[in-house]
Amino acid sequence: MTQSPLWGFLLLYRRADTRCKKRLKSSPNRAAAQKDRHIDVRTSPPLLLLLLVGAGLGSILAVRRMRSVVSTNGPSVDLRQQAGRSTRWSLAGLVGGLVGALIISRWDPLGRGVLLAAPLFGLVVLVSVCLGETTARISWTSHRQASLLTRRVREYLPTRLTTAVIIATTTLTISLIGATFAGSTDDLGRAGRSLTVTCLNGVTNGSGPWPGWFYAGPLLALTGLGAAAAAVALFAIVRRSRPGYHHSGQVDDADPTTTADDDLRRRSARTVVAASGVAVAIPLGGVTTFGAIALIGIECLPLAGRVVQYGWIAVIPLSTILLGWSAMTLVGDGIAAVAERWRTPIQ
Amino acid sequence: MSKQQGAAPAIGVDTTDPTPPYEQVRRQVIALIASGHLGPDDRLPPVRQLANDLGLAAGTVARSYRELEQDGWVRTKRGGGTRVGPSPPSAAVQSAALADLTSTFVQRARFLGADDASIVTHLQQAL
Repeated sequence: MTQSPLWGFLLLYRRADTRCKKRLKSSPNRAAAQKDRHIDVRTSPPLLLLLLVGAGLGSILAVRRMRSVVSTNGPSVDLRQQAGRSTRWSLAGLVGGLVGALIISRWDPLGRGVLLAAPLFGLVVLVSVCLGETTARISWTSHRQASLLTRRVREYLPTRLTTAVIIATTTLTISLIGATFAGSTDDLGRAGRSLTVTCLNGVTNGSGPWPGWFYAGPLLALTGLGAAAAAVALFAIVRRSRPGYHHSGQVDDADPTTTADDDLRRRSARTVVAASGVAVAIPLGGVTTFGAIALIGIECLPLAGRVVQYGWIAVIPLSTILLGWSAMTLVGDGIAAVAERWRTPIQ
Repeated sequence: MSKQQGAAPAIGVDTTDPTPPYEQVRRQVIALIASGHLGPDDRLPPVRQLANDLGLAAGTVARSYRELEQDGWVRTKRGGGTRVGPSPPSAAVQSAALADLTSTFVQRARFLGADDASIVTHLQQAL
């Protein structure tokens, strides 16, 4: 196992972390040393390499989806205006989310701010998409028509990315709940920030930081909020007024306006899923990395603990792939939407 | 109705028509069921979707659905949406619906200034 690159990465990190801890103990200024330790964690070269590889693999998956660029050059002015509105709100959400993530990442020197940055980013994007859909405006005429076809959320979701995000969210939730039950208080009395195991010989092994309640509580709360916001945004996308019918006087679900409207809904749904992917992938990577590192530090870990440790190690590269996939989907759709706006200005 | 390509059953609302919008929706759904365009167990769109697409308040469409359910044309299940009933209502109810539609047609034709002979001629041409 020690020959595995990932295992090597974790051991490298462990050594660096141990050196930091020693420096921390010997340092006259504990706060400064603690800060140094966190900088070490964030700029760990193997971690950055892993992130790059994951982002690269994820990009390949995302680029394959970029071919279906929404074409809103249809006959409906309402549709083009809605496309512009969706684009503006999505971009505002991306910028607002990034600003929010930067601000919250500086909140807690013990890493909770960094952990909550991605879920907050996702939440802001989801709220923005929701606003873009619910503020849709149609120029109504006295005679209006509507198709009796039922629009369903699943018709607009990107199947594979959605499946990946659901699996990642489930894994994150289970990991956090499990870590909360297994965690114990650390040396300063912070609940669930340490893992303590008493060996058969009576020696107590402690390791941390552990993703227990100290981290899991706010993360679960924000993830839950994000899931609720994603559901609301998806229903808003599906229930937005269908433009075009009242102008043409005919109801044909294969006409260009309807097809373009469906493409626009698909893009919004993809933004929702991709933002959720970013919101989940980063904390999942963080939780599993720190959890696995803490478990490596326990010498007399029971078999079940080792199984969890290997499971978490396996999740780390998968979470980076999901991160790359989701991030590139967001970026790709953003670029495509802006390009579309330049090509077809509203008349 | 599930998603499919091509022309789909549709309903329209005319806001200048003196008939209330909920009644317009109700009558058209009945006409679609009676003509076979909507079959047993076909799903109707959710209230909010249809209301948004027609630019109506959700309560207006909800009232249409409620009255259709009371007359036995559709059935609503929690979580299952609103679907066309397994069998159409009794012949008497169908006859009443037809009389209702005919009455509306005649009323609107007279509103346009058409006399009885002209109405009958146009009706025969449509048949």
